[in-house]
Amino acid sequence: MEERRVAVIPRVIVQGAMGPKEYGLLLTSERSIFVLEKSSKAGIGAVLGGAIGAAIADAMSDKKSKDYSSCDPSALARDEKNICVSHASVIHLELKKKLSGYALRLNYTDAGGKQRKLAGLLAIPDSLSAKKKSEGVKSKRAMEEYAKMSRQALELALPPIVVQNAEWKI
Amino acid sequence: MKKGKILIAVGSVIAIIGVYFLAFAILPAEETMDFTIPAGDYYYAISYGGLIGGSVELNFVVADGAIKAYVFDEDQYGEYSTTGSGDYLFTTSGDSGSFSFVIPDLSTYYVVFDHGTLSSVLSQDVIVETTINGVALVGTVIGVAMIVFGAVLAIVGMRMKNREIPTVAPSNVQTDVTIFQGQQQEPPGQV
Repeated sequence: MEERRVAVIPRVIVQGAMGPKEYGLLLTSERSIFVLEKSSKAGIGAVLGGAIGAAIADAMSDKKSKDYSSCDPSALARDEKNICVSHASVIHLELKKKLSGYALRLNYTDAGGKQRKLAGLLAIPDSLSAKKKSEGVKSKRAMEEYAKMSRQALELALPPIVVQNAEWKI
Repeated sequence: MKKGKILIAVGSVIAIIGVYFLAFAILPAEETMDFTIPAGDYYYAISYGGLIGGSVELNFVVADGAIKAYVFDEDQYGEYSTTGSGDYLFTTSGDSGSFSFVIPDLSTYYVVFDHGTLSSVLSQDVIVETTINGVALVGTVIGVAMIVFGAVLAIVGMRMKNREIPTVAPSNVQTDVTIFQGQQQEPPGQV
């Protein structure tokens, strides 16, 4: 059965060992592909310390842009920088509003049979944030809409049993 | 209204009623009774039972003449109701008085008000004030069951509510989250 693109959540921030990483989340009928959009080198910056370190970290961040409507999911999944989670391997899904923001968490089994978790925060793209602000929409409200839409995207993409047992607190 | 919200509301109401049941079952109950012992071979009996750690305090006042008050267990009451005499746990008499007794177990105990020795020709009006202490087993079980059931309903309702699709119309809200329409060959619809 052909893999079908279902939805895109444009910005999810995942905390990595070397600092936060920004991913775009492409949801297909078969898997969730966290496509690396921006990798902060904040970890390196922190080692260097201070304003200089922060400036260097910012300079070392690299911006990418993906056209998710046309790019091949398999190619994205093969890219080692990206994180690919097969929907068949998902054990548990959470989307919760926390103090830090809207937290997305996936528990799944990797190819080696080892249980893994992937935790990230939903984040509004800067352009949308600016647009909403210009329209007079409060950032809290905009974030809420973004989270609700993200939830709908997840519900459309993931298997019904995962969706049914997921924890939604938004 | 969504099912989840309905369940939360129903569960909350049931739990609140359960709290009232529990409170009534645990807190001391006071009651005033006004009754008449008809002239002749009649008596008035009050039963108490199903209490854990129970005790009963009674104050009585008689309008005309004196009465006798007895405390019986079930067997003793059975004998008294049949023969008009027998053993008792406690007795007192007079035109007024007060007494209390402990209910040691869940079985039923009886307080009987009967005519005094020279009062059987009278119709006697009696006022009895009672205070019942102890935990009523049935009320406690019902109360706890309702609280648990109500809480479970509310929790299930909350889970259902959390799973329900948000009511915000996605098509009217721009979020940059893209839902692809139909097959992937079609252009994406951004909402």
